[in-house]
Amino acid sequence: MSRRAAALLLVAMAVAVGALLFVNRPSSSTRRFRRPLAFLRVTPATGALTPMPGTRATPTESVRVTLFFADSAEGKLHPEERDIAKPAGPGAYLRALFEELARGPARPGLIGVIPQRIQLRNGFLMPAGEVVLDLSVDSSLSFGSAEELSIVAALVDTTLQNVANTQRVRVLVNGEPAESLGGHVDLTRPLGFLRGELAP
Amino acid sequence: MSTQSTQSSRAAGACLAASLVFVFAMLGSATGQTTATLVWRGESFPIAVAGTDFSVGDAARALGFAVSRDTTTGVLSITGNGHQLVAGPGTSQVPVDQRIVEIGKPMRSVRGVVYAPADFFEKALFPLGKATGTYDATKRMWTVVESRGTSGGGEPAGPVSVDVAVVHVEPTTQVVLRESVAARFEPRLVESGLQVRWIDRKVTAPFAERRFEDPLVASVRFEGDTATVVFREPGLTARAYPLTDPDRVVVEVGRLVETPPIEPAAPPPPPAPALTIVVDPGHGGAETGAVGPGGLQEKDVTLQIARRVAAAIPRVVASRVVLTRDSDSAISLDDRTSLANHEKAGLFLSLHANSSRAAGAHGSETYYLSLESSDRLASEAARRENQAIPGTGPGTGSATNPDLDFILWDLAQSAHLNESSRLAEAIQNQLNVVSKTENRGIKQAPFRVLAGATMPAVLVEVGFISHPEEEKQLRSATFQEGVANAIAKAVGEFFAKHPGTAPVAGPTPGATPSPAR
Repeated sequence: MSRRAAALLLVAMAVAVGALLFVNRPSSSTRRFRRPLAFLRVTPATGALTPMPGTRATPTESVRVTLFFADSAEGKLHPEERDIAKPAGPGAYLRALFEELARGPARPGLIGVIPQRIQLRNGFLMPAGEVVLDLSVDSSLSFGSAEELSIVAALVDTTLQNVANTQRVRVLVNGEPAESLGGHVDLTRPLGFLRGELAP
Repeated sequence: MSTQSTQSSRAAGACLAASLVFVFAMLGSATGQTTATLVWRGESFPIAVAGTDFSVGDAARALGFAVSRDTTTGVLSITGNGHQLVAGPGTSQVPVDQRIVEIGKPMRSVRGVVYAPADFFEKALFPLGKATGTYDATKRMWTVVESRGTSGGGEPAGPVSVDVAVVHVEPTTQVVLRESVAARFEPRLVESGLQVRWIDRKVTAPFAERRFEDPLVASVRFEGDTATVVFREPGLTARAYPLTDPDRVVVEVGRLVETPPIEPAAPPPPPAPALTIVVDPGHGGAETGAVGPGGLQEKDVTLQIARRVAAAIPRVVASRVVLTRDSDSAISLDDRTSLANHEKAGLFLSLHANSSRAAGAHGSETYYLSLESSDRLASEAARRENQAIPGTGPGTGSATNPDLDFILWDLAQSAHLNESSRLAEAIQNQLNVVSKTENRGIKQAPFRVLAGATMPAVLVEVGFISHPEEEKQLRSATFQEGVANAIAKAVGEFFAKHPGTAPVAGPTPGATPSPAR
């Protein structure tokens, strides 16, 4: 083999390595994130694209969600919109919604309805438009019906408002079906949108 | 020179070609994309492989499933054999029909193709096709064979298990054959009854034969894949139709001459002259209910008021009042309504004290059941399967399946919603007058304790225990007595406006409260 041929081989190898590096850039996951997710019922928050100064624009996409919080006067639910980082899948989205509800409202005059001793163990997006929310509920919690209705309605209505193509939410307590959270609202069957708890 | 140059060029060309092969080989191995073979019914199908994962779409299509891909999320929806499976990248939970199948590690998307680990195919996909598969790593080959029998290894394509409930709503009887999965069936009217034969599936029967105390249906019998609804007497006819969610076959039995189906249910027969009213003090035992800022517990207030209501009602309406609890005991919500149903009560009054995180919330409100927010399909069932099941509670009609119970219980209260609404209105009006509490009005909510009552049923929130002022009121005997009298007066008013539902009279012997437990 002549020197020239050897040089050509070296060039070809360099091209190969270059091609490999090019192809193996982190691609599939970021591409997936760039696409809108079908289960999100949201308005894209256009202002949320924030390129880092001095670097190539890396879009940290966010979505606008509608959360329900109670008013401090009567306890009726009011919507509040906010932008959150776009979650990676249905489970993460349901968790993000719960966490935002638990975090509470930004608007003055509203109060959060999810007690600290209620946590989300898991959330599933099922076929046929059903969402399952598995809550961990501290056994020492007790509620009156208005408070329990607010909790369940905030969870159910926030879920149905934000997750596309869902009609029902089934709530499990500590991984199992339960009669109710605290003796009132029927959790033995999936719940639809609880309009009665929304402020007129 | 020219010969040497030609040789050099050839050598270089060969090297370049070798390099390109190397490059593509490296590309292939770096992304892990190659193929395996899936053998199914004597045919071989190529299945894309990424690392140790296999293409879900390739395998599903090879088995004959329809595969649709959401172009925005990359989630695959796989349908076939009456089932649906959803494969979404990034999750190790696979929704199969109404179940979640957990796999060892998350599925992933590589260049728009969903890849899943081997156990996805073994646990979720192959059972959907009534098949089992084994992977030979040395040959890079999946061998998929049909499962023995039709059970599909207990996965979704298994036999259909059937529960039975029998409900008589004059003039028809409905036999609900609740299926574990939707299955095709063929109805056949024979002299002795109506046969339902399931096609393509084996049937797991709940019993061989069971007799029922029903005016039209003598028994339900299972033989092989056929259920026979046996008529009690000649001159009856029946029809069968499917309903979904939960999947079930409804056999409607009626008399030939009376054209039974479709007609709305006849109004329930008037209650027996001896009226029973069940009063339910909310919560109890370890379940304190809401607790006020001063430490007052809802379970105590509700019991105190319930005892007063139990004493007050017979002064207005000739009746026997039964308390669901007359001590600090825990009773499930369903047991409270069961008691009312068992007592064939004319009214069910559940008493509660409210709480809210909203500091300003105060006043009284009265609820009756809302079906709107409960499962719309249950409401559909209520519509389709007529409305009333007088005297039927959970457990009657051999309902062993909770879903079936839901339907029956919804049907139960839905027949009384109008009356419940009027009762709620009467109570709320009286509370406003007598106790002078803030009027929050009558409302509807999906409260469990109201769902199964086969009589007019309301839940009264007499005041907010979370409100410091109202907590003080709730402690006072005067306020409690006022509330009790208001409720009793409203009950009297309710029956006065509904003659035929109960006698309105003075004191009656035996009107003392009877503790349930």
